[in-house]
Amino acid sequence: MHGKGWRVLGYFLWMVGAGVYLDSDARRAAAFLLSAGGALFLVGVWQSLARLGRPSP
Amino acid sequence: MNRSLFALFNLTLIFAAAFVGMRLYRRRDPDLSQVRGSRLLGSAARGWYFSNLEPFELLFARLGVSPTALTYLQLVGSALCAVAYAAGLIYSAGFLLLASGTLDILDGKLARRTGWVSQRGAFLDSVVDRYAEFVVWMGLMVYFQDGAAVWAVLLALLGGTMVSYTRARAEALGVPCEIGFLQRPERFVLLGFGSIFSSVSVHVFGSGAGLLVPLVWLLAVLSNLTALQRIVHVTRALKNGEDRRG
Repeated sequence: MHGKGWRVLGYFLWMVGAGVYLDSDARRAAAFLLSAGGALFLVGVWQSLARLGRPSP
Repeated sequence: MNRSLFALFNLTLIFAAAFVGMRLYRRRDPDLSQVRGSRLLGSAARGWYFSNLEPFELLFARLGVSPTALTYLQLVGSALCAVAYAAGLIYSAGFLLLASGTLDILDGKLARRTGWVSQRGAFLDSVVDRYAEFVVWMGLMVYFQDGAAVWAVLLALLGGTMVSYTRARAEALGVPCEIGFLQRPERFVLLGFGSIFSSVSVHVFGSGAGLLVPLVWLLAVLSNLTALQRIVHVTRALKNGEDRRG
């Protein structure tokens, strides 16, 4: 998977984490999911930016 | 950060991600001629959403995941969504509904990409779709069990079933019937995002079911109107065919 895949996966985890945070008292699980989602999203953005300007294979 | 602030921040994030993603997608000037849009979900919005699923299509194809497995996974997602609605976890239910709707799109796309398109798969997909939709409405019925909104849920369930049934029956009679304001993807998007907005509104403005009750009434009315629209379309088409034959 490349940039877009990680971004979408990160967004998915973030949304799951947001659901856990808003609907329950499991703060630690929510914090973990939100952090993991945010981190994956940033990895995806970084990968996409790193590929910008390169000729496609 | 307290919950109401986080809810607002998250809502802004959802909008911002969709807005920026759509802008970047449209800037690439994609070919949307193959993407069928509707009044509510235009071809650009659908094209952008489908483009986000491409990495997963490729990944599942490489891993040898069968489209049928995704079809069944959609049913599991819908059952979890129903449990979430029944337990009053509205934000999670809305998100699970959108996720299981995405799996419904993904199974068809994976089947076409891998060449595993079959009548068996198409049949299973349609049947599982009906069960998945029914189970979600059941969850909402449990949530609204003491209120008048349970009638709206029943009407919406009837409308959704009739929208699908009219199309299946019409196509069995040879009449194309992909028309109507509120088809299945539109129902999923309205109910899914509506649940998320409703949860946010409850966290920000206080107690109550938020936007969910008016939304379910809206879905009840619009899905029955869509079924009526299809009935009129098909009866006219069949009458015209009978008139031509004499």
